[in-house]
Amino acid sequence: MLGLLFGGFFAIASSVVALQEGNRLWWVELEVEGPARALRIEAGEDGVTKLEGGVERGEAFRRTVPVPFSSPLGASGLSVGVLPRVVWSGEGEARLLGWSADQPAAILTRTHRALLARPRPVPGPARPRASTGALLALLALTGLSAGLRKRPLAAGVVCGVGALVLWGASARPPDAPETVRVLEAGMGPRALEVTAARNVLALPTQTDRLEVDPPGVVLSIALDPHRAGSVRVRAEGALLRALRAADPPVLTPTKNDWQDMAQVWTRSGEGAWRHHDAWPRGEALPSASDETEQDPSPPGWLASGLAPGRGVLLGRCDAPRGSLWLRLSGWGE
Amino acid sequence: MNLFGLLVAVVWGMSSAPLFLETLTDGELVIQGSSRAAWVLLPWMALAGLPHTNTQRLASGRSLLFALPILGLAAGLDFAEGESPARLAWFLGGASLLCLGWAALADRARSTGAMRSRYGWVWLLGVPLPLVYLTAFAWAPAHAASAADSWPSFWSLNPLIWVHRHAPLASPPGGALALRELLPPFLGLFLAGAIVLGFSRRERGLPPC
Repeated sequence: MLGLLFGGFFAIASSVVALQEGNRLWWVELEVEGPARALRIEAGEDGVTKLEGGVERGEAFRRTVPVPFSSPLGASGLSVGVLPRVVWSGEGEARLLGWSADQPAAILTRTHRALLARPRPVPGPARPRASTGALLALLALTGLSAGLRKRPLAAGVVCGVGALVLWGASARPPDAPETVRVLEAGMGPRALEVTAARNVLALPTQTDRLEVDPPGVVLSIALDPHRAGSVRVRAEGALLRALRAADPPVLTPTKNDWQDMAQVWTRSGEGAWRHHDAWPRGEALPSASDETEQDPSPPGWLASGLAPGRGVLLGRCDAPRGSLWLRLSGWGE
Repeated sequence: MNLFGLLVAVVWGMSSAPLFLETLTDGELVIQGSSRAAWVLLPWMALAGLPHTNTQRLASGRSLLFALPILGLAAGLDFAEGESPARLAWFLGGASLLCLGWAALADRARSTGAMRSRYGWVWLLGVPLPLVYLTAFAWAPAHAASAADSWPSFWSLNPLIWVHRHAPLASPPGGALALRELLPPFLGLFLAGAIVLGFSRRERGLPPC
């Protein structure tokens, strides 16, 4: 009996630690007295946190700031590890007072364990495309060089210069890298918002946890200590996911008390998917359309990894910051 | 426009199609995980080494100039997506030399009938045929199950695609091929014959059939 208890305790403790060890966002207490410039908190091979903007003479503050630390033992392992190092230039003073007593990742692991176990969204890479102007220029260049085909030297110059111009016009990264937001929910009182992007991610306010794929990659966090919600994480070639606790959507088949949804899919316990029209706020769920080949299927990444035998509702809301997807299990139960 | 002009226009269309489709479909249709510069180069690479006839100087090397603006645009997009400049430079430099090399070889092989014939065989066996087999090996298992149950499409004009779509293992067992399934590749053959023979009659100064 005692062995069983120990075994159970060990299994729970291991799963909690396993969930926490993937977190790369731990918080430290920082105290600064100006003047100080180029403030950095270095977490060795794990990465660095850079505080943008200097601290003026006479200015002093104490902040809780994130560092991209890896803690294989989770929050309990922070106290036995080495504290990151703060460096700066200027006559002022900066020091780390220690790890913050409240680590949001540890709390989230305790309260949202079931939702944390769900598969994570994988945003597609933002693929740059040729602009309409560049394509028109391409057509014009081709027409011009075809007109000059009797004069090969002139045609060669036109084509060569055109190639350079089009290279210059297209060789820049896309303006808006793709960010995917998913609200994970069950029929309980908790929900989890996951925001995922590649390479660069602006952390939503009150982010509790940061996951990085591949896990050991070096992270760079930049934030403005004078402005809340200004934290950006960068890791070239990595997939970044910020997780935070969120309010669950208030949805029943008879009323949408959450927000307008542009598309909705439901799955019965038997596993059949049905597509519904848009579901505006305040209204009842529209009846499912008869299954036709024209009906859009739910995105594979959103519909996969769901527990079999349970009702599911998937939805897409068009928001100013891009689409927000909803993955709600236990629908209709 | 002569036959070669038409061929260059087709190659230009094939090489620029991925770029146009990505933009016109607003990113819905994208060729994920592959270099656009490579897609642009593929048709031009095929054109560069195309066997020439003795009477028709194809001037392939000169026609490759038309590839430069598309290649500049495609390489810029590859760069914007994260490809390193050094790798791009090596790839584009090597591919351009290959194109010019094949074009020069095809041009040189025009000098005698024997050399032209030998080059034709070498090119056929060395360039398009391995590509067709490689494509079929990757393609057939993925599509065999659902190949033959639909109305023959435009693509069935191509004998290679028709053979793949209507092979016995891809069809329902025991069913004979309907006329509508047999028609497209023969229509394709008729169209090819009309184009080739019509052009050759016109070049010889004869009235078209």
